[in-house]
Amino acid sequence: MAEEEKEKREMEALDYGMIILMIIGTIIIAIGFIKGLVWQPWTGM
Amino acid sequence: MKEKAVCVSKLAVPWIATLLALLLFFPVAGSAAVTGSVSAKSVPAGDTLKITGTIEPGQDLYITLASQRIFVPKECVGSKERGIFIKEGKKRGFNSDTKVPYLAYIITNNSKPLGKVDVKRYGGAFFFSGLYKTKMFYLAKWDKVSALARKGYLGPIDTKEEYNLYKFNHEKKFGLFTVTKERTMKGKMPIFSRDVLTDYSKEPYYWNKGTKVSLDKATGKYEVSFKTFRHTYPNTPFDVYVNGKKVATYTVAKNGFWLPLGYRYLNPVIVIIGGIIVGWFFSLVGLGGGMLMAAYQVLFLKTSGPVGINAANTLKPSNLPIVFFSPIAALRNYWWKEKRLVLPLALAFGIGIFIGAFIIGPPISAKYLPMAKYKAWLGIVVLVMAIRLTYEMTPRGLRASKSRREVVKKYQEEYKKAKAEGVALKMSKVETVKPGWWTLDFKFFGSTFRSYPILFGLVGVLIGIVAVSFGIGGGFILVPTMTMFAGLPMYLAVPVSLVGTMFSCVSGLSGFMVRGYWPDPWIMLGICVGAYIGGFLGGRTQRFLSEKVLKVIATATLYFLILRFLKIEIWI
Repeated sequence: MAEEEKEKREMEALDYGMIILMIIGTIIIAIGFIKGLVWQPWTGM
Repeated sequence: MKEKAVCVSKLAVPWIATLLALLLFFPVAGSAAVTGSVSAKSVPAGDTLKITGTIEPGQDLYITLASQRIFVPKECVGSKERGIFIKEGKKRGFNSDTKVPYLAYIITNNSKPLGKVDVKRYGGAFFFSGLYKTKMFYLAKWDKVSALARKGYLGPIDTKEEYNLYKFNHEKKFGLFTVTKERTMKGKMPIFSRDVLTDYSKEPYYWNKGTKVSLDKATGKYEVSFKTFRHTYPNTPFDVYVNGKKVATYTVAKNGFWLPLGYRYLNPVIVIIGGIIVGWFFSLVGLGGGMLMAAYQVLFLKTSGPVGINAANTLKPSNLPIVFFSPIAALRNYWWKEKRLVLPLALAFGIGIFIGAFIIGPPISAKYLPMAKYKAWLGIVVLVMAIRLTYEMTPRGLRASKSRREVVKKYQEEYKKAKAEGVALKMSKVETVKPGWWTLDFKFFGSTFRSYPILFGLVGVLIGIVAVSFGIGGGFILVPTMTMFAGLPMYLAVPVSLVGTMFSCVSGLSGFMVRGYWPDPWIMLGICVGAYIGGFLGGRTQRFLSEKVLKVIATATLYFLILRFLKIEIWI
């Protein structure tokens, strides 16, 4: 029973890991989007 | 003595006056014959501009259209690009402070003094480069054009350094992808950037399309039509020089939705369509997403990047979200609903990819740059994988893996049963039998599989290095690794591969951003939206396709990628 419980907890931890990955990825993409919108690297004038 | 001196000075006065008059009068008389006017002060990008006027009778016509926006290597935004310009400048004879118009064209009735048309070979990998051939205009060396340039016939390009930089920006792939952004293409291969143009009816080369030059040498009257570059930076003013005299200015105006870092006019809906197609395909087979989206960008979007940043360094960060958002949508099904994601395996790959892309990759690619040169070798690695996957599909290959054979059999039985009952097939869950980092045993459709998380983590390191260099996810290594070394069926390999590529996106994209290379917001957003829709569709449709069909699609994609890596296939 304890073994099963431990395994379940491990799986839950992995689930949370995936959710954290999704959040981090979305934040990075959002930062890229905002910077891409406001950045004007060259006008040549 | 004094009288004689007075006499000499008296005589000299009319002479000096005559000489002065001649000096002042002659240049004015020479340029007074040159006139020119433009059909409109403002031309929408991509429209045709007409220039009419007169030159001295009997002369050849040289019209230079030069943008007032300039490029200077030392002000290059991309640090990597700046370094390359400084290095190339030493070799090709220009300096870091040499200024050239970012776009400049020379329209003439006689192109011979400026260069020649010759064969250009392109395509193919390093061991058989120059597989295909076409023609392009090669600019002559400075010694041959210096007389014309010094008279101002090339507009603001009047020194050796400026001419050499202009030549580099138009004829070398790096120059045209970093500065002019205007390229004539054969398939997806760039040939050169338009520089010297003549009348299309007289010299029907592809680069002369849209150019008309009519000159009456007897009277000096001329009329020229020129098609402006469709993706000229919005509201760029141009100077018009006719035979060395500046006669007019015009502006190439904004014409459509301008991508702020993609440097193209494009409807973002086109990006979304590409994202849906590629996202759907990627979530079905777990590979080829990054590569196909990059191909879509090169062929349809033609992502160019800001002046001073090589097109690839905008294309890659904009591309990476395809391998993030398509998996998110597909995993809703694969992971939460059908519970067929072997998460420990996925995370083992993920950690490896993160180490490869973030810690080991950048110093390696800094030392052995450019990684793109190793593309052909990557092609050979993929070839080995494709051959192995093909073998696995043969009856003999299938017999070799008992557990996979059982899964395929069980799946087919369940599928038939579900079809007979008129209900959708219920996928089996993944159940862990023996957890562990060295060996991991789990059950799927009644069969037990053994995999090696630590070993796969090491493969992940390699994938990370490749992913960050090419701006792709690395699914084309992930899927064959799992099916070959662990004998996993596609139903299990695909979800794991999708999670692995999500790590590639996070590490790769942040790596680009840290180095100052930002994605185009609209291309990226379009890809995110399209990929999510595509991934959602893929996640729902995969179970309707048999293991064999999935494998055939995956293998066919690998063969396609080989042709792409070796630059044999250059059209799609």
